[in-house]
Amino acid sequence: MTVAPRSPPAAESAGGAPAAYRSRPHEPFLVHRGLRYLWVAAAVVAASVVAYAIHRPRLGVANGGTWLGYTLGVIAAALVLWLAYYRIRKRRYGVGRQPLTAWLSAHVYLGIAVVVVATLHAGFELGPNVHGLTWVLLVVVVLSGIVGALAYARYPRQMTRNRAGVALDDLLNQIATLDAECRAASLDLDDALARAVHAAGTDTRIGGGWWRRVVGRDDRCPTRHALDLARSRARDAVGSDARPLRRLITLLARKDALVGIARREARMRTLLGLWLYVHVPATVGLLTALALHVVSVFWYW
Amino acid sequence: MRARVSTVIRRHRAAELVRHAEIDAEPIRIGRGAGNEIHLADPRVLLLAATLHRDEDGLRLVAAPGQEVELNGALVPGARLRAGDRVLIAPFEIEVTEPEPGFDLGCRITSVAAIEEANRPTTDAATEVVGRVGRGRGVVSWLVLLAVLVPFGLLPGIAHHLAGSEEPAPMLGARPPPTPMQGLRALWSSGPMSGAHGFFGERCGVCHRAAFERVTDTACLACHRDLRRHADPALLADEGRADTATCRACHAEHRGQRQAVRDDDAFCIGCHGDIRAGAPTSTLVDVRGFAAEHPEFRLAGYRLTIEGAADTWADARGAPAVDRSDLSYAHRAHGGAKDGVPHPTKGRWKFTCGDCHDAEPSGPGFRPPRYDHHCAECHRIRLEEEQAATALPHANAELVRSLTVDLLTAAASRGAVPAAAEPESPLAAVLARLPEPTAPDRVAALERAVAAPSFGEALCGLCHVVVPTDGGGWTTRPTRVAESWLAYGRFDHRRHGQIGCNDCHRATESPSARDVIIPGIDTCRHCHDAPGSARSVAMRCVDCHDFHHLGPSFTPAH
Repeated sequence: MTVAPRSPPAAESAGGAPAAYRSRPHEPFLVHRGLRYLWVAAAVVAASVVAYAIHRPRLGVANGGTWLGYTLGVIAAALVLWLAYYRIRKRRYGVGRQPLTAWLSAHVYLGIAVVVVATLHAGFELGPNVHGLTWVLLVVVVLSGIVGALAYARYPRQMTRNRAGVALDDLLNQIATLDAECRAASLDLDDALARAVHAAGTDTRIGGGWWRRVVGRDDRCPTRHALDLARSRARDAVGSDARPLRRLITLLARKDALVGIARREARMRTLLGLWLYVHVPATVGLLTALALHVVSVFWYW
Repeated sequence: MRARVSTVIRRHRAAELVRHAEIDAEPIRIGRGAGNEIHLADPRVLLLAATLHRDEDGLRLVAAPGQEVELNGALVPGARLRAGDRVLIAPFEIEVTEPEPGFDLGCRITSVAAIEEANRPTTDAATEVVGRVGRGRGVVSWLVLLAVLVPFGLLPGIAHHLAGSEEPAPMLGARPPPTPMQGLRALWSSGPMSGAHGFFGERCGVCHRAAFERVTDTACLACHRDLRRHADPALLADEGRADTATCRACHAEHRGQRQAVRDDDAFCIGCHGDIRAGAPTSTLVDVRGFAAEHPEFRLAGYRLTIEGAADTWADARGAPAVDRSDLSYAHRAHGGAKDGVPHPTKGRWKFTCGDCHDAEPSGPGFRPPRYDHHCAECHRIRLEEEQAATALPHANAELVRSLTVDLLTAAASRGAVPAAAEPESPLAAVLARLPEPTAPDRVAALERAVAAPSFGEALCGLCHVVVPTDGGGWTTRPTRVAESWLAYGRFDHRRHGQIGCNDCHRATESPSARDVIIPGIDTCRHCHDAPGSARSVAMRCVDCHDFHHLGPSFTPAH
């Protein structure tokens, strides 16, 4: 992992108070401020593990009912609530001293730490009940969050490289323009090829359902079919007959390349959002289960 | 053939434009190809879709070989055209109009599905291409919330609320299967019940009497009625140890089959390490572990009487324990002789401990020796040695005296009162007190002689303590053979079977029946040490001591 250099000292504000930390441009959230929140999370984990190791429960078995168990439980619950608050915080731009990058960095590392704290809180005792469900949902939330963090660490850069700086709308407009040119270029060609070109313009799908977007390719792509058909015609064409075919092949090949770029863009955008379909609902379930866990524990104290 | 063709060009959100063209050809070809007279520039149109011919009957439309065209809604290979006919060559509609003067044909061509619209799927907005981020997450979130809240929250909560306090299921006999409501309540359980409580595990209300209240001792003692308290809860509460006084301080439930009892030394030493810090009036000695700071055993005999009451006795702390069983028995006299002792039927008999000490069938100790089983073979109760046929029973003194009188009276009636051959025998003790055989009150005199303590001493004194009674007679003092000398401790002989009896008990060296041959703690320390020792067998407090002591109480003096 690349460690980002430490940020320069915070400048003094006009009033003499230290100004809020400003992230370096494009500083990855995982290495924000020299992995500050990784160390914070590691400290939380280390303190919890040490306390668990040296703790001798009165009844000999670590569990959530000891003083350490309650302490770790309170810490874990507070962390879960704070982590869930991130969803609200990220929509309140410009609020607070810490930039959103800091919140996201802390969200990731402390989210991983809370699994350790919660597990020690339970004393590794899990069962088929609301308490075990809470732990399972917590793990699901954190694992999906890790997937999301890895996606955000990987795909944005790939997306920029994939589109080469062209916006997706512009890319789609280019494809539409190429469709019109292909259509015009196919008017004097044979009917089968003209139909294929027409189908390439009407039936080529870039987005579509979840699976199609995640897979990111279409093995029966009409554009590719039209391109292959045009190439097969070009092999037999000579002289003036070959000229419109070559132009059509050029256009279709360019469209095929652009469609591939658009599909990869759609795939990566989908993957960037897909984990949230687990992360967010599981978080809702976790908060519900956490409330039930607390109520049930103290109902039958 | 001259034709005037009007082509309607639609533009999105723009005015309709019409382009007019005049054609003079025979026939007039219609198709996608640029060489056609009517050029329909759309890939969906065939290169040559149809031709128009003029004959004497007018205009005739002929579809391309093997093709059909749609005329007024019907597919036909060809047809005669009249004004008002509509020919559809996708996506174009050709409406035949009345020809203007000088023309044979008039038609109006309209694109019913512009090519731009047909191409729309690839020009969708980016959001439609990649899908709308977040669409459906709210629905999924609500479904997850309900999936958690209803089965894990609402239903168990309702079940708990409706159940209230409950009685445990019967321990014996068939138990009803858990109801669905009880099954729902298990979703709030923090873990499976221990084995001892598993038979009512689905009935939460047995222990949890009220919501948001900790389990009270009352709930525990509802079943464990006769359980002895370790100490007075009020005393512990006064000393600020109220938490220690509760059942839950030591017993953890919902931990599965794991033992639900606290058994670590630290728990015991927490109080007993400095007992007077918490209980200033206590007379107990501080204990800080088995290895070093455990006091010498204080032996205190006890036994349970037939009525079930505890019979206890103890000596002052520091004084050597004395056997007060009132039974004369010298271990050395029986087992100390290397060549054994005389036996009436076995010759010289070498005693072992097991000849008298029978292990308890299901217990850690031994049953007290019994006369019938362990003594009678050698020590028969007789007036004299040679009167084997007239042995007396091992019964209470009154019965023995009565039988003795009957025995001697019967002998006298036969004129065969025996002479005492053994001067120390019971018979000699009787005969020494009898009057002349001719005396009229000989039977009464016989009764008096048998009632004399000297007779009792001669008959029973070898083993028992004979004491005079108020009526001038005698009796034997009841024996009190201790069942255990470790009043607050526990020693399991079964777990020490590999060790010889004499390795711990110096029985063959004990000359007196008042010796208590229980070994001291140093003997135990030869093999045992505190937990954590690598060289000795670990010894915890609970290995010898019961928290809920089942034996007699020695408080407060002990």
